[in-house]
Amino acid sequence: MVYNLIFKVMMMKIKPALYIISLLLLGFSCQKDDKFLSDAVPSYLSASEPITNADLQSLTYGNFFAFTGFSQQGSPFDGIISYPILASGECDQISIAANTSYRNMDHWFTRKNEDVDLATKDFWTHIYYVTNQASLVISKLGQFTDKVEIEPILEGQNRFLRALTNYAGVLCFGAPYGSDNSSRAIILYDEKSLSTGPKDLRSRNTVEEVYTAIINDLKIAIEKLPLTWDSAADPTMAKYKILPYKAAAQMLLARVYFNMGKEHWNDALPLINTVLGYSQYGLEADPRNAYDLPKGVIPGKETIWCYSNEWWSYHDSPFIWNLLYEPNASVFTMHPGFGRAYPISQQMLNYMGWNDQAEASKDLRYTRNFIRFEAGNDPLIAYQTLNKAYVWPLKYEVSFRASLSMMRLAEMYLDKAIILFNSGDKTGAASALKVIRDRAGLPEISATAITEEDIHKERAKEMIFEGDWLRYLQCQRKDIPGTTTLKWNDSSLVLPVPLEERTYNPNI
Amino acid sequence: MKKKRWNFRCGRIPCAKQLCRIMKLTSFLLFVLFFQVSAGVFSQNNGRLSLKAEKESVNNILKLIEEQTEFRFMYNANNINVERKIDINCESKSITEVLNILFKGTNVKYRSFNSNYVLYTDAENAVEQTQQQKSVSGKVTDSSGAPLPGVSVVVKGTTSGVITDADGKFTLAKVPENATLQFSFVGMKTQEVKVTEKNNINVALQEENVGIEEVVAIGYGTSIKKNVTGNQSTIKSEELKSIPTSSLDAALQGKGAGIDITSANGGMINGLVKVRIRGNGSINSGTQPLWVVDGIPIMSDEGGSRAQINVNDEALTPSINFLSDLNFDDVESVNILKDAAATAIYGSRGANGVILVTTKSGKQGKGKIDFDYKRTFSNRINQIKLMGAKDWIKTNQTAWTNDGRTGDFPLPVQKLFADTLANGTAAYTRDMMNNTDVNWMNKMLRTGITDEYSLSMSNATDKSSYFVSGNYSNISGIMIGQEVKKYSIRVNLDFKPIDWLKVGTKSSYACSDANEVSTLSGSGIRGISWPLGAISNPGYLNAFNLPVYPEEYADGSPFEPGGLNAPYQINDKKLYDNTYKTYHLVGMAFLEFQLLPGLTFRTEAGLDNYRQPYNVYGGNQSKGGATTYWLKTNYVREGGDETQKTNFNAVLNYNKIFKENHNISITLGTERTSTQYKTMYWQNWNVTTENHLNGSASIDYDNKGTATYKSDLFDEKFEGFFGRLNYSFKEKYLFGFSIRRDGSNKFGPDNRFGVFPSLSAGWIISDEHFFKNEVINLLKLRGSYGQTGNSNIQMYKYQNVYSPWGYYNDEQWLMLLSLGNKGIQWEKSNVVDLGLEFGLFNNRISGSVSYYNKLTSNMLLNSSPAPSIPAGVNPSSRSLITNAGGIKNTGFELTLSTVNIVTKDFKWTTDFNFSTNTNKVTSLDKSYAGTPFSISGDERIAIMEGHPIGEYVLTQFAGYTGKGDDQIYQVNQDLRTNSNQYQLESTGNKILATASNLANNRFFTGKSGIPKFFGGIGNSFTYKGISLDLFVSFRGGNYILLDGISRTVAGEASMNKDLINNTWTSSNANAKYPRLSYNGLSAEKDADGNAIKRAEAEDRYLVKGDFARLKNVRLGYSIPKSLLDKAKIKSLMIYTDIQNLLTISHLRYFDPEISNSLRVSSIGNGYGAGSLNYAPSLVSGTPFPNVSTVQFGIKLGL
Repeated sequence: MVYNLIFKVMMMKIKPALYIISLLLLGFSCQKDDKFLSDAVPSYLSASEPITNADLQSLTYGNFFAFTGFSQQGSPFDGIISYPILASGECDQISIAANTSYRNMDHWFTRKNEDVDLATKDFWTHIYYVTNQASLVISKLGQFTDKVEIEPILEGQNRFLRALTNYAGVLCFGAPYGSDNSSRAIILYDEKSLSTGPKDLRSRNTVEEVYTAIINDLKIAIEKLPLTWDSAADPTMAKYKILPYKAAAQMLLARVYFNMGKEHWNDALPLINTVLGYSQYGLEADPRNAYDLPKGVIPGKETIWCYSNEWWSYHDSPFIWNLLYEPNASVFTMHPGFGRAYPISQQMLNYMGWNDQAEASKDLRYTRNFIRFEAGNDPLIAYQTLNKAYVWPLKYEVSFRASLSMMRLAEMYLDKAIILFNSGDKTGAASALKVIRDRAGLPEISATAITEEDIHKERAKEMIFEGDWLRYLQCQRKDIPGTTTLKWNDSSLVLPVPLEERTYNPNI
Repeated sequence: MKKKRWNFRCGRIPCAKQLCRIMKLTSFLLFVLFFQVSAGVFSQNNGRLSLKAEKESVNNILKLIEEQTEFRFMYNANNINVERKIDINCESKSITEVLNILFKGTNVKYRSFNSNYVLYTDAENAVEQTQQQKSVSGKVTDSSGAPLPGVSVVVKGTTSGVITDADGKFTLAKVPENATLQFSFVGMKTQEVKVTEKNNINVALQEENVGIEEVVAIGYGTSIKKNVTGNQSTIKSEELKSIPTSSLDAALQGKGAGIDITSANGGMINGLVKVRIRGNGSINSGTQPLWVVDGIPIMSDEGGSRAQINVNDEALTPSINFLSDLNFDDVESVNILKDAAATAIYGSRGANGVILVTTKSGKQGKGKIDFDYKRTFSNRINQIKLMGAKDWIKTNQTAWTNDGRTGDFPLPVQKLFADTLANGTAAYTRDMMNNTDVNWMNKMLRTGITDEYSLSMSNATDKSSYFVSGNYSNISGIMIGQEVKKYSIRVNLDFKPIDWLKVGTKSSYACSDANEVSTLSGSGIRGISWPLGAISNPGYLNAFNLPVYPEEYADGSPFEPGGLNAPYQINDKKLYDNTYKTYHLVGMAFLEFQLLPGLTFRTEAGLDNYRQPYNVYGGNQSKGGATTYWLKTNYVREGGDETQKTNFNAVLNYNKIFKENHNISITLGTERTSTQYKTMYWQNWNVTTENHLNGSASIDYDNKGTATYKSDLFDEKFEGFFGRLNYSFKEKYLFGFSIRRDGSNKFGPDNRFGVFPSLSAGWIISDEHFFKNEVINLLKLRGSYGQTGNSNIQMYKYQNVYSPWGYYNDEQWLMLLSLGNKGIQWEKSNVVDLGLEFGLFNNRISGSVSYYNKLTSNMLLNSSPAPSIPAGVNPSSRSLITNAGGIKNTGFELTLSTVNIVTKDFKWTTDFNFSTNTNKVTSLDKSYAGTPFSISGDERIAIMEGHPIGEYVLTQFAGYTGKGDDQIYQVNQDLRTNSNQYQLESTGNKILATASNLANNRFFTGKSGIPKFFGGIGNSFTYKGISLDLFVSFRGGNYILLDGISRTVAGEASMNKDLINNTWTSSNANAKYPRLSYNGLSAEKDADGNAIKRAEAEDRYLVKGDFARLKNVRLGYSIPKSLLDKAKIKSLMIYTDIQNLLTISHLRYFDPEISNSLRVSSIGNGYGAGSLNYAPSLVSGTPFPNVSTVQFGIKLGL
């Protein structure tokens, strides 16, 4: 009875209360929508744009990493390095090992296969990732209050990177300078023209505009970049030369002027002399060390700027390296699709004189950096059916973690030699060439005996497989040898804009 | 506008928005309640009732009490005037008090048996008394022989009756001799037995499995099955029985129409299972259904978003099927919601269907204890047959000679290893090769044995119930080294502490302790992606399966050329230790308030917490002391994952019948779900015992770049508000409407919410007067239209994500990881469903036919923006999610249940289901125009408008060249270049099959990997205590591309036994395979005289995926009661169950259900996890084999 009474009282009081509590609970869970859902972005993700100079510094490092390639197959080096090498007839198309998986490298020769598109798309894509990010950093400089002392160096680094990337882009997707400078090449992103998202579809800038932008960036970079590594101010990694010093910007600008054609060689020469005048740089005594040091971490004095696998530590050497520079069988090269694919072409061998083994063996570069397998003697089973002897490069074969020299002082001597020769200074030309020949263990060519062809051949032997030959011939308006000989400005030497870009971007 | 108005009204009141929302809800509820009619009953379920009615017939009041309480009334309407109208207004009265009020002043009396009340008059009693003649007793059991207490036993046509006692026994005195006894019990079919001369009547009641009055789970509530207007399949626990699969999802295979289930991982412990309800609805988004266990949306098999970040670590953190932690014996029922009418209330997560799992609760009656023990033996089936050493040597020598070379083919241990061989271990010689024959598969695999023990206890009173269970399994997988111990407990409780409140929990906790075999670098057979024994890549570990490799040298030292361990050594825990533990808590607690008659408020809080710590120790020493090549030094990796899903919902339910014929049911609710995922590991090489023990190994700057750390974290959130209105008129005309507004933090602030409505209707034609007939007892027509959503994509896709990418010493770099697409919205599916349900001959034949049309639009597709848009750093996975494109899935579903024969001792029933599915991509983002494989990333698998997902684009075999190389038909190159449509016509020219010819001469085959039909047929036979169940599942219309097999002849001479005598020779020009070649070289030469690398015509390796499989054979014997009674045992059953006993398929090499991919995830992450959406049937390498199991079990009930 008592219970019933209490219960009745409770029910009278509680029922409305319950009703209200239930509604409150329901209502509570309907509290302001956005708060619950927007709370969720974890703090480790900087889902907003950068807000400090420290962020900009990290973005700069990240962008250098992006430039050097996120993955082996997707590396821009595939495009930057392999295209000029393969297109100019520097190497022979054996590629038995390479054409069974990953990527059919035949496309570099034929440029008809749709695989060309697949590969150029990676390269094309990377150009814009890097130039846009570099531009983002430059656009934000001066806005933040932390670490203001690093702002100039950040600007120099980003302008160098942007120029380097645009230059790689214009070399491949643009007509050679002096051919048709009003033709379209690549899209320029700069600090005033950042990408605004997926709908921001642009048209290409002209060859002239791109070169102007590159030269402008490099001039500022030269001004802003330090001469040497400052342990107090710079991060440890900078000493590995993955981040550029003043000399790197100067050498790149010299290279740009040089490749623009003889009309611009006078602009290049002072820069070349400046770089050659720096005491911290010099040729290695052993040509082998010009590429990778025994430890392969800290590059030698010949390197002006490099790609450091060790520093990135994330991945092994770019894919092209596996194809070009791994002559010895290893666990991985036993596998079809990995390992060397391209020896020096017969045509280049004849031009360089290295088909004559007696002649070749006098050259330290040949003995130290190349290997020859006679027909049937190749350790790779896949190549045992070849019916000729081939010479394979092993410039970087020692270590997966080698620092890969992308700018080497030797190039400056060779530039200087041809520029001086062209201006009639044969003594100067012979003197510049002597430095290179001395290191190769070859006798000097006297000022009286030196010919233009001597300088060309020396360059071929020194720079082969470094992506130099095509642009060297083009800047002198020389025909391009290969399966068929092409004019220096033949349209087939310009890579087409990738199909996907053409499909998706009506403004291209 | 509306928003502003509310703000204005609310002035400055704090939390004005919330209050306004509450007021809106309140107004709505009040509106509903004003419709309250003149009668209402409020049961507090302890027998106390509140009742208010004016001028209502006694009949209706009794009906109302029956509908809303557990009380039932039996009376003879001829003798008792129930049409009499009365007024009643009572609060908290007992049932007897209510009856006293109802029949005050009449001669009506009553008798009660638990909740059953028999109403009678004195006159009736008198008649009964005059007719009494004999006393009858007996026992009532269920179909398994377990006694059924509480069964109502009534003399038909009278009110005379009793209720069976706790042992199921009854005694009924004074039964007329020609009377009929009626046995009825909730959930059982009512049975009538004529009383003849017998004094003892024993009855076994049959469960009402497909009863139209059955209560089934629907989203956030339950409903009478007959009244459901959505399309759903119900699978009761009895159907699952003890199917020896490792997870609930696998056990559902073939059980429901429209549900295609594949055990993609075959014999893997906790193997992942692919569940597709009504086809693949999306290309890049997840296509797994939402699993809801006791109201908690749980993590489904692939871990959903868990997989998205962890994808690169696949090898070290085994993918766990979360459902494998759910003990089958605890499951009461599984409801599979298929159409939008059923799933739209789950809004954003309903597009792939919803599977509701309800676990058991205690039932009133005598307490129950069940114990189950089973032992399962597993053996691999349908595995590729391999050559022995002699055949292998002969094959390779032939291949070598065929390539134009002389002498012996090179020893499989190459020059590479010679150096290492010289360094300590003996050399591998040709003699050794010729004198060795080892079957490495037999060395690695074994018969798997699983012991499983389950114990459960349950009981209930009218105020509480409990179900408690425990399970222990000790699993030894079929691969040596796979050992798992699993423990789980479940506690399901509910109480009514006070009359208007019910509280309870349904919680389980499972943990396991496992040793996984090595998965590093594809070692062992789990990760092999290359053809077995491919000779041209002996550097790969699988080469160590070659039969010519000995286990050890003559001196007893292990054979470890080049420091490589043989696979069986890798599985030696002393050399390689990969252990992980899992802890999995799934818990739910609820409060349920009875607010008003018919109005309940229920709130549930759920937690699904999963932790998986793991550690991997790799020694740098192999068995023989050689240093392994892939572990240049020793190796430690320690870490773990934690996923925590919390779920909170609050639901108001209101049910009301008014004016007799109008039944209204309203549900209003809100739900929030949050999933946090964390993972972290560190790993290092060069770890010495010393520095590992003192912790210094975690920092290793001296050895730069070797220490790696990784951690990830995300928090995925959903928020939903939903409502449902069901209305039925005369229980014949049914209408349903539901709507859900769902928000997710996967979308930007402007697009966060989506609204998902559905409309449905049903007509029970068989209840119409004009239709009444003896043959058809149920005919129901139903139809629905609705919209559901899918948001199963990675997190943070709407915003730019910058991420620290790496570091060197203390310098870190940031990268734009992905460019956000602020505009992305929900993927939507519009679903039309039409169905007909029927029951014939008193439900001896019952079933349904349905048609569905599911159109996915606004598809969340990984699309590549123009390459000039800086969208992400990695070109290969650079993508933006956009809403683009659509997919259409249509199909028919048929389910049929028949009771074929039923006699006193023998019964035969059949359940059959059959479904079809047609899948077509209706539109795609324009960036995919003309590149059929740009989404799949595999040139052989197309995704293109007008074609099914994953249609194969292959080259066509055109016979051999005169020298035994494959030729293919050339396609019209102009047409290909110009149309870029791959709708190519053959020129009739035959060309050599080379890689580049393959690339340029593929055409649409019209065949895809997606099945066009599937289903299952189950037959159950019972004879006295013996039961036999046979279950066959089948599937077909799909094609499987045997990628690995094609490669075995593409120059990677292999161990495939089928090559023997089946390769081209001049005397066997029509052979199955081309001429053997050691290096895959064509007999043709190029211009330089070098051999041309050949490829294989592809369509030859496309085989039909159709299969029928005797999935389950189960034989059980229940020991007769008479024997058990003395031992006080309720039931005892012994059984044996054989799974995958027989498979009929076109495949000679592999199992038709498995593919070589480890994941069944469908998150479009660019790493292949999503590829199973469109490439479900590509078999390359040597996938982990499927198994056949034999199980023996004993089930004891006390």
